[in-house]
Amino acid sequence: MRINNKRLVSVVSIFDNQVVQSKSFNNYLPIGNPEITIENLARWGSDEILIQCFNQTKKNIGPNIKLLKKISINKNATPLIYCGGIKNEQHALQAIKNGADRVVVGYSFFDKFDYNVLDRISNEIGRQSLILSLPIIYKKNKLFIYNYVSKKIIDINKTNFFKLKKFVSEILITDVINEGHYDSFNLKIFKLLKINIPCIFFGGINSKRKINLVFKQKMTSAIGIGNFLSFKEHSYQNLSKNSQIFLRKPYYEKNK
Amino acid sequence: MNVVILDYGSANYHSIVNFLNFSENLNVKISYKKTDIKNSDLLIFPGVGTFDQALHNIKKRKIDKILKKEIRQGKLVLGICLGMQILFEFSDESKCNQIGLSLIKGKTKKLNITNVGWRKLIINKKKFKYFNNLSFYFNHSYFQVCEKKNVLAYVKFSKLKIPAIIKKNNIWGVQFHPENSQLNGKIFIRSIFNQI
Repeated sequence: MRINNKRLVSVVSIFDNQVVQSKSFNNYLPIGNPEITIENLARWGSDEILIQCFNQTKKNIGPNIKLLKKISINKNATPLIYCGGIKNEQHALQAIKNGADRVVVGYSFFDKFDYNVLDRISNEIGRQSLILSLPIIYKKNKLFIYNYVSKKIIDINKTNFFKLKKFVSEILITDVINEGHYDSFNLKIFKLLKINIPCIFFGGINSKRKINLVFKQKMTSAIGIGNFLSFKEHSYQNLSKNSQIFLRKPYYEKNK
Repeated sequence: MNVVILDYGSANYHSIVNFLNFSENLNVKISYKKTDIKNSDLLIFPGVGTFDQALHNIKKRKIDKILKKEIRQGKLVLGICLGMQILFEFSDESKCNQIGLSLIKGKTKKLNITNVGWRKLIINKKKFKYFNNLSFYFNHSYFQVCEKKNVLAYVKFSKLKIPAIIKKNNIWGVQFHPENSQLNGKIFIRSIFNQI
């Protein structure tokens, strides 16, 4: 049976307006220009492109609208998800009006488990356009949310996922420790994660084998893949061809 | 050709403008001015936001009457996702029993789970068979229930047949996002332009 309704999301990490390679939310190594990166990922037929702008939250400067406006010109009719600095419904609306099709909210929720902020954003842009980000750390057979601002960890069981379902369409789960490391996503996370909301998994998922293992999980609606896609022409198509049972047919641009 | 993207406060305008840029000879405006609405050849109701917010802003901007009048007189309209849903009568999404523009009979119902991703269209009418089996990008938490005769295409999701393209005279409604559907979205929008 074909179940080709999952997605392979191209994740672009941005720090100081540069595309960077990050490791465990640290050690940012510049690798390229955002506009060209987006243009390539769109040209290769990415199911969705997610841009995550680091430091917007830490600096408390809201979403990077200038960059969003600039890069969305190159998205070539590919769905664009924006992540970084969104604290309220005005920020979310600004991002949507300026080129994003969906937005990701993380810190503003899990810092104080503020369900109201999600409720307000969802009322403004619709549940389908709102994704919650939970950076996860696996430690001693337990899962924790990593608060990258305070650098503290919080027990994931404090989250009321039943309540969250009213406000968000998907949850972006990042394996913090393995983010930026080759094929090291911790599969033990699935045993501990009890979520009734579709999830996008990200962080150390690169090999064809691991992609298929993660796709096989019922809660997986999408997989995020980062810089791994940018190093070689057609990496995206090669990966999606391998996971044909889960994904739509890869797209190859015809010669002009 | 004058294309007006109706500004009702909360939608992905930039995305749609960028998308329409591929086509030449288009004069695209984001507007809620009555003169722009009147002078448009195609009126696009964009599709991000909520039912209540969109209708609240349409009424606040006092354009509901002119919209209904222009559309009833034959103005070509494309409603995208939420933009299509507000053309109908009722919606489960409304928290204050708000009534839609009621240009087509039908109701919007809630999905248990958001339908996000690429789905293949199943075409009902021979005339549109070109789109059969082509993938389009969907992102919605509510779906349309309407008269079968108006449904040109649907997708299967969560044991439901969800109307994907609806057409009644000059009114086109799509549950998917052509502006996010890459090449297929462009082919689809061209077929709409060809109506003008």
